[in-house]
Amino acid sequence: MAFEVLMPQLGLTMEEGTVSEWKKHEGDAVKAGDVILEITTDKLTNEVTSEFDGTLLKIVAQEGEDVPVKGLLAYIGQPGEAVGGSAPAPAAAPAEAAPAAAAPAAAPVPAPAAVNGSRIRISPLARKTAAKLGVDYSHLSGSGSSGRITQKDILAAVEAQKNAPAEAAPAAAPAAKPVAKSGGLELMEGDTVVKLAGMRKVVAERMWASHNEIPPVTQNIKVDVTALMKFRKMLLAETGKKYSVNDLILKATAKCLRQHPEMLVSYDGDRIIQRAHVNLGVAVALDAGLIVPVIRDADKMGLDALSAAAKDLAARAKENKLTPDEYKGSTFTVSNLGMFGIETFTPIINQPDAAILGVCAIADELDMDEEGKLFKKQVMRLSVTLDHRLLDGAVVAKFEMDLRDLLQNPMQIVL
Amino acid sequence: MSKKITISKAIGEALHEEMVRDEKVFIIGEDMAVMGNVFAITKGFLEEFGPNRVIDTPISEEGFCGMAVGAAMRGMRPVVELMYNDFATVAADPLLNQAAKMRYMTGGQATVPMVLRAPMGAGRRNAGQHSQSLENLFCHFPGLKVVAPCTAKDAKGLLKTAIRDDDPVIFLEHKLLYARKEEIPEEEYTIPLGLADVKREGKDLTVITWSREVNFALEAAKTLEAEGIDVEVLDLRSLVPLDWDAIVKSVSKTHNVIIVSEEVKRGSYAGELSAQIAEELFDELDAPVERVCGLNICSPFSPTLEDENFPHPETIVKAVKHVLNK
Repeated sequence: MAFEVLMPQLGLTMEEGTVSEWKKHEGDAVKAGDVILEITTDKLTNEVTSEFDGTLLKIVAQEGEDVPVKGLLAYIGQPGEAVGGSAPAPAAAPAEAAPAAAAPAAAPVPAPAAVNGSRIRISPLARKTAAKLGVDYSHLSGSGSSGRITQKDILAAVEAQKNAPAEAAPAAAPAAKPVAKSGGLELMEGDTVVKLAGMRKVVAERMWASHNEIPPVTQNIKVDVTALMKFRKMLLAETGKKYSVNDLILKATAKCLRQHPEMLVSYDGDRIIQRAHVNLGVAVALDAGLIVPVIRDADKMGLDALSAAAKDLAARAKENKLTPDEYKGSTFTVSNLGMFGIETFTPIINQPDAAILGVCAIADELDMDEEGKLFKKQVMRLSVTLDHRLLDGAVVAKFEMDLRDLLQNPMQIVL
Repeated sequence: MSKKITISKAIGEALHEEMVRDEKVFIIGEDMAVMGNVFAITKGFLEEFGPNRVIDTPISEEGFCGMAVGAAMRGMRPVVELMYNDFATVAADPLLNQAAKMRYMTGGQATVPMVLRAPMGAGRRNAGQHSQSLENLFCHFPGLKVVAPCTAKDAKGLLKTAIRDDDPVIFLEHKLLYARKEEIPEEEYTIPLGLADVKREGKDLTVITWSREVNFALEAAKTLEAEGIDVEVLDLRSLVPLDWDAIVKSVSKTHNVIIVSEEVKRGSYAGELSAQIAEELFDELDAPVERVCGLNICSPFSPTLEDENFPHPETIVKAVKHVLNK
């Protein structure tokens, strides 16, 4: 009879563990007490030892897989023995329910082997519900004991299917590579650990991919925004509307991009895609991470409409109410850290854009006129990171200079 | 109108009312008359109804159970008390082979309208021969009805119905419930056999239970509620006939079940219910049905060990979490 190796419960709060490394492989002989695999939890790394003598017949949970407590990891038995057709392990009596690392499978009669050799554990109710709702549960992992798929899992799958686009990466990423697996860093006193998940995980994966794929160059340019700031006041006085510095920068950027279509390209394997639209991604910081809603055809919008769109997207991003379409399809991105006093930085490109504009803080500076007289002006730096596979420094420098000139002659922005 | 009385008093009231109502009703058993029963249930009955209707017997369970079966076949309505349900084994032939089978084997010519009151359950340091819960034994025999109430109200209403029933009814009373004081209606009432009672509504899991474990299940439900687990407590009250409709209704709502009883787990009625649910309601189940019972051991005399051997609220909490994998 083959024995099951199950995910142990290490501590009361453990709900699932991740298979980090198989120390034994299918076909290896194992003895009771041998370390067969390593698992990681949100807290630490642990070794799982065999409780049985025999051969590691089948590894069910692969490295990197998250498995709920008591979920099936592997089978140990005699060489040649059929595994995986067993009925769920009988529920242990409450008095006997020990947090055992493994429980013997009740398989007195070998059941017909499933296609891939491993039977899917699913509750009768869950199976019925899946049939009714047309859910393919072959890939689901169950939340019930022994990893059984329960009705809750089926309903969650239906829900996930509905919301699938909403959980996608902020922009259509060209197959983001997974972030490197945890290396088992040693914890020091007082350290806490949380699982990389949700938006943080998406941000991590996308930034990692961008940073590793793109040869980046960041070029800073100084802009005299004295006139821009005056212009903003003038707009307020004339129209009664208060536009943010960012609104004016977005408008200027959109306008300038229209004049520099070479900036609007995407790297796609052995192809370069020339983008037709000026779709401005605007990075919005959230408590949980970062999201980049997109203002479509920003070059065709008046300042009013652009300002309203930016405000609306940012507000809804913070309430998590963006629709998936609203954070996809950027062709250029603006990231503004000016309000935090950042002088310059090296923004990371939001793929598949070819460049990103970092907007920095406005500060007073002394300058000298032609007669040698000192005067005060307000300056701001723009930091553009470019994808050197597609763009060269001089090309982007021209774009930056034009953008600078536009911002220094603000009337041009709205004309 | 309602009043608050002990469960033993509620049982005494049922006996008293039925003896007043129907002169064919008489009570018989050990220490029933002069002493007025070990739990003082029939105190004063001898004086009121006289020695022909309130009969003390020697220690002779087979004898007086046999007498009761005979009297019932002749039209009387005896209410027999076994001091402990464990003694049913001494009276096995009259109860299980005669009373249970008489109506069927005589083609309905004879019936046995008797009630056997049988104190059950552990927790009183009465050791292995006086602490059992034998629901499984009684429920096994076709022809017997089996009732196991938890509350004072249910005990009184069900006992009155049992006495009026034309078939033999085993009426299981938990020894540790007798002293509980509970509200019951002032006016006369009866409760039909075969109707379960939802003692607490819930949506996550159904606890099917009866007798004293109902109280433990309710306590467990309270603990679980604090943790966001909503448990339904279904008090069967009557084990045979079984309120299958109530079980279907509850299981179809919660999809998870445990069955709690004080019986030895192996061969228990809890196991029978589990099997019925697995057979009939397979497609409603989201997890295996779990039995929460005593261990497969002789009831220990040692208080520490005895208390370990039947389900407590904590045991029930643990089992619920196990089934829900929480």
